[in-house]
This record gives sequence, structure tokens and C-alpha cells, in this order.
Amino acid sequence: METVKASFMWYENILTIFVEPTLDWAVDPVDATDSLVFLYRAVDENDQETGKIAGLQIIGFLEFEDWEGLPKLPMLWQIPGWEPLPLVDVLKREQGLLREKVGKQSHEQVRAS
Amino acid sequence: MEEGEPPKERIERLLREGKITEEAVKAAEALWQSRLQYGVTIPNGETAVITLDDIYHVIVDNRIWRKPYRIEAALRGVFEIHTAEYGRRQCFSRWEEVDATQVGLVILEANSRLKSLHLVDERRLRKQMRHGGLLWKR
Repeated sequence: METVKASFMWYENILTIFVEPTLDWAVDPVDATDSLVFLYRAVDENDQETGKIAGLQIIGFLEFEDWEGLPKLPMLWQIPGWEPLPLVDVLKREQGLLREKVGKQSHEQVRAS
Repeated sequence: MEEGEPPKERIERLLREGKITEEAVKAAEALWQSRLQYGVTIPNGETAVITLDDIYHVIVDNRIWRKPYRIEAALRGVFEIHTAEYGRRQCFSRWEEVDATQVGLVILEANSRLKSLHLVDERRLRKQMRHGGLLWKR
């Protein structure tokens, strides 16, 4: 199975995972879920889809639970410092980290007030 | 960064890597300052709220940074709005450009903040329109 280098972009409960080096993409909403998930399909310089994946975005990532609704992609994603993982596993790990971080920040804000 | 790059940091990295131009980033910032920072009224009468960080978030897509006017065009071209989880709305949009009709999907938070903006093709737009309940239609 192919392994791709990947990175995350995190912004206000939206997580985007990108293949690196970054590719241009066409957005394909993921139909198998009612959550807002968008698959980024790589395109070439003529804007034609290449069959490769450029990334994926999940809106409302901290609450996201519909792992079965994600596309089954035949590739492993390698975030710097992590081992190559299937998409669901890399996202679950990231969700855990972000939930912990957000939980910690909320707790500190409550303490500060 | 395990937690993920914020959009502005990603834009700065894309600049260093030559994947986006400084002119494009400055153009998007100027557009926000001149036309978007006080909000954009969409066809249902709602005002979409857009921060500068929201701009950085959407311009990581080259279909947006190359033509940042699409941010306003997509908002003003909303023709149907459906529900999404947690009070968000998915707004389906269509607008005319010189050489083609564009279609897109705008995601708004319950508080009218712009969450995301994607250009899609007509077939994929129609597919996504099967999701959510109808809130408004032009």
C-alpha cells in the first residue's frame, strides 16, 4: 500500500489533512455521511483528476464519529513523527490529541475566570 | 505540528514553497479589507461574517486564491440552504463568470460565520443537495 507524507491544518473545529507536497485538487463531497466531509481529489495542470488523493476536510471534527462514512482509501498517511497509518487511524489519533488540548484550554479558561 | 497548522501558518509555508504567490495573498487581504470585513449579505437576507483568518482558511485552495472574488460571488450566488449538524448550514451556490458558470458549496456556522467554501462541479453539487433539510430556496 502506498504511503504518503501528510500534514494537518486545524482551524475552529475544522480539520484538513493534506498530502505533502501539496497538490492542486477538486473537491468531492463525501456522500456516504451526513457529516460535512470533503475529499480532495488531485488534479493536474489541465484541471483533470489524476486518480490520486490530495487531502480530506472534516467540519466539526471534534464531534465527528461517522468513521464508517469516510472513504476507504488504499493508502497510508504519515504525519511527521508518526508511523504510517490508514486514514481513520490517523484522524482518530489527531482527534484524541485535539480533544485533550481543547479540554485543557477550556479548563484553564474556567480556572482563570 | 501535531495539532495542525493554523491557516495563516500554512499560507506562509505555501509561500516559502512557492505554491502560492505573495501577490495573491495580498490581493485576498485587500479584498477582505475593502469588501468582506463587514460581512456579505446573502440572498436569504442573512449577513455572512468573515474574519481575516477565515480568508486564510479558504485561500489555501488555489481555485480561491487565484480568483478571490469567488468568495463574495459564492456567497451572493446562494440559491438554496440546507441544514447540517450542530446548527451549521450548507449553502448551495451558482454564479456566472466570463467563461463559465461556477457552482460551489458554502458552509456557515449557526452564527453566520463562514466556515468553509468549496468550488465543486454540478454533479457533485447535486449529490450533496440530497443531504440535510431544506431551510431556504430562492
